[in-house]
Amino acid sequence: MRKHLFLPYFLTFLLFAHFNDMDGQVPKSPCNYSLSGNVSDEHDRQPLPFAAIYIEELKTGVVSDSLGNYRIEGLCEGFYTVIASHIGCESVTKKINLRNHTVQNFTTEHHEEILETIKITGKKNQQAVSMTQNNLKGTELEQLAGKSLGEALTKISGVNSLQTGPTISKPIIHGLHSNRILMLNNGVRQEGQQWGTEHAPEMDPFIAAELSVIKGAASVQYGSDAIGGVILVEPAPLPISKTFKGKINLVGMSNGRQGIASAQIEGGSSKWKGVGWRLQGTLKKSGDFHTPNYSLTNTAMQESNVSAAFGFKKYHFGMEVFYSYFHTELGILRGSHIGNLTDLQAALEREVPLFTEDFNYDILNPKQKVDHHLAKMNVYWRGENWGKLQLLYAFQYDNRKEFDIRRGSRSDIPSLDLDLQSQHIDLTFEHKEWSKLKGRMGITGSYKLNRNDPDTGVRPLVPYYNQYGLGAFWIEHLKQENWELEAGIRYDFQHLLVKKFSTTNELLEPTFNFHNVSASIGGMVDFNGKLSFRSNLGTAFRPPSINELFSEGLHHGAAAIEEGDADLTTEKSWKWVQTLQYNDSKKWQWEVSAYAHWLKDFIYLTPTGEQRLTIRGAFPVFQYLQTDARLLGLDGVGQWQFHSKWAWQFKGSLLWAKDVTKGDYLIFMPANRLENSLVYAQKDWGKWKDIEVKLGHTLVGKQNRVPANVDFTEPPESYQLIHFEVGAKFPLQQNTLGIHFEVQNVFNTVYRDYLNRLRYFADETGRNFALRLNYHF
Amino acid sequence: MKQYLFLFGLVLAIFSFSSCDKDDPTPPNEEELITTLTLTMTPEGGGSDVLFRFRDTDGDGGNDPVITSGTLAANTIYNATLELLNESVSPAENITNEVRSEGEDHQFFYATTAGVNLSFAYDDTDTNGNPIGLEVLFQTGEASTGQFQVTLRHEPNKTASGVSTGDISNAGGETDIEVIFDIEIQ
Repeated sequence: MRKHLFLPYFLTFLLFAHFNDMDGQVPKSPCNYSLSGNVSDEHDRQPLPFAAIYIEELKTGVVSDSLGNYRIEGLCEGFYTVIASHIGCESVTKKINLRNHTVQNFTTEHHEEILETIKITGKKNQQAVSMTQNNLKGTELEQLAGKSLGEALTKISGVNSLQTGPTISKPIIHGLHSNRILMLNNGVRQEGQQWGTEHAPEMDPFIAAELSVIKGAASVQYGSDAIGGVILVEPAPLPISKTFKGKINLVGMSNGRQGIASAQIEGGSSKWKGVGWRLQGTLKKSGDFHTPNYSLTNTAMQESNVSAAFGFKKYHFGMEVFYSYFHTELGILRGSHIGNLTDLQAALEREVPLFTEDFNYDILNPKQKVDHHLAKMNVYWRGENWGKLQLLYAFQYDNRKEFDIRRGSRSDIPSLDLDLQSQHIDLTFEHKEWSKLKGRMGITGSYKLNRNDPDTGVRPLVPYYNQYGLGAFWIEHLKQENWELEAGIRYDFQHLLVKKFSTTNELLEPTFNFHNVSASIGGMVDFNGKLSFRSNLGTAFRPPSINELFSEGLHHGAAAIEEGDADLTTEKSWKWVQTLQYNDSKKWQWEVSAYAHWLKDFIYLTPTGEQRLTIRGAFPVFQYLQTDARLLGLDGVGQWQFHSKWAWQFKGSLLWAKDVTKGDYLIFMPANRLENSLVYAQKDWGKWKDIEVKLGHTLVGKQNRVPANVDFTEPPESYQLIHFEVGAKFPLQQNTLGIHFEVQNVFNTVYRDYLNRLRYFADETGRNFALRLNYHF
Repeated sequence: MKQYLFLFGLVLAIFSFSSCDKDDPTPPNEEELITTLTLTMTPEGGGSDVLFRFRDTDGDGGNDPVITSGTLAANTIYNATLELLNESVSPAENITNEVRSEGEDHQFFYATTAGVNLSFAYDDTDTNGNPIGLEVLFQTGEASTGQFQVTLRHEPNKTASGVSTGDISNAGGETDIEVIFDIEIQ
């Protein structure tokens, strides 16, 4: 159905692109170009009528119309300085290299509003300034097109990927993942079955215009679970004036013979000011991936996603509705499906996994099938005298089916079928700035219902439950010229009602109540416009998740019996992050963060030493226990522009994660990592623009900091990879075609990574060629 | 303002409506579970049956499994049949036929620790003429003691070298059953 809907779009777009290309070849008479665009207010995106647009070189100008639109005709090719100004606004100057009909939009800032208005789209300006936050957007994000969210985020220092084979990837921030990371999908807490290490986030990265990672304990702003950090997946703001534009991304990759297509169109209305909409969709298909020496049988996957947004934005009132649907079906390496410890031992000794076959696109058991729906509605009211009131309601439905290799033609019946419904309601009030103090407060409510389909014929991993949450927070932010300070406090209550069956199928209904107070304080100092320092001490908390409380039984992938503990208490954390940032806008740009993270009652899975006898043989019993943990780490990232066209980029991270009570290391923590690249960039080359060539080297150390006698095998050896990429932009009339070509693992190196759960069974993927095209119109 | 209130009301209505789900879950019917393996050995030329049984009626976890071992007579041939049951449901379900009907995807292997004078030969075949191992002939030698292991492999490579004569080393597949019994031959 979705395929049918989107295929015509793609075809139309491709035709469009083609014709533009033909036009571009017809020589044009000079002095025939136009410069046009729209002038709007940066804060509320309202169009600014009667703004002056002046071209300095020509000493001429025009005035924007009632919708903020302007147009200057009959311009020659060349460089121009264009100034846009409006009464009560700061004028904006742009240098334009005019070689075609050009669209240049201006957003200007009202002087008197600079300090008192928070952007409507909100989140960016509201993020705690004292928190260390890194983003991916624009070209950088486009060069990652086709990668999963988890993989794409590894571009950010201190973020790793927890893999289960080539298609399942979860982000790890400063050593923590799954339930210890909060993901906000367009402002809504993503609610899936996050507890599972082989449950990847149910999100389409193509939705995002920006991916951000907050690397602090951020419970005060975001509620429970934000222990390790927060990931924000943010679409661009919706258009608010008359426009129609879009983009297409096409990606092809050799490893897995992958094809990915994504398209987006958006528009605004001239009749109804402030109205905007967007439609977006992605299709992804890949076959079996391969290592340098063999195919990874049954690692094929396919994904299809759609989203739609509609909004209305004015200064005093605005609303937005958003809906997204994510669907994926992915195979798990056939050779990683084991019955017991004997099988695991055999797999460890085997060079090539069992059941290895030639490449194909088939997705057979074991496999996962996930559907995720998200609907959100957002309304705000704003007054000059009081501030802004915002109401958000979101509904999510997540269905996860896992198919196993089963007896008696039961292979089409999932062995796990979890239905999770969740609802959130947030009411936030941002008060008007009061003597340089900005602040906001809010209340949030949530409800979750998790159900298991009993038709699986398998005792479910996690039981039926109802979870109610209630929270209230208050954050204040003081902004001075060279420094900023902020502090916040939050209270949360969570009620959990579980319905589970004992081994004799008796219905038990335990209930739990968790109360928590969290706080955060931080600040930022700007020394000279180049060097800045930020520091944040935040607390966060996380009530034990359902699997930690109630999982029982065999974890097939791990050949272990995992047991929850209903007596677990809330995990509390204190994280102190400080970041020194330098940017001289010329040669040097770097950032160093050091963090110390203390976790009290840290919940972790550890072997009890007991071997439990089952009909499949004896299995080690692992239990969820609590301890005190300490994570110390260092991240660095930077760029040295040592020549006008050459730059050196580097990125590294170190982490020491200890179980303080036991005096031992914590398991599955990222190893030391260092990445270096040499970048050559050139602005123009014939018709091509923004040419960038990059040669990269990645060094990942062997993880020597592991607990004694817990893992089934030694951590894999250290490895080094070489990576090459080249990208450029090609103007097609008023539009741009971006091309990016990449080779990963250039030397087809055989290696295994400590953070891949399939490292017991198979090597990592081999060389991969990727070609990406993106077209904006 | 009216429509905002309406909107707000609507949101609350949806919210509270779905929160009223009070239905209780139903327990899954674990029909695939194997709780009991019984190997019945009948001596050729008469005599009483010898039973080897692994029984864990509540599945993994819960109560410990109960293992019954038997004593075999020296220098005797036994006709053995293997039976698989799911006793977690009532009445108990017989899994043996399910395994037999998918015989091409299943094979039982029998092995002893060193020093146990026991040899075995398959006495049944799947549709391809390869052994399944639900019917087996055992022959005891001189008196000895040790351990005896029964393994069921799902999706083994039945044509790999030695597999059809009961050598597990090249069988591959994944283990569905692996139980160990004490054995005494006297």
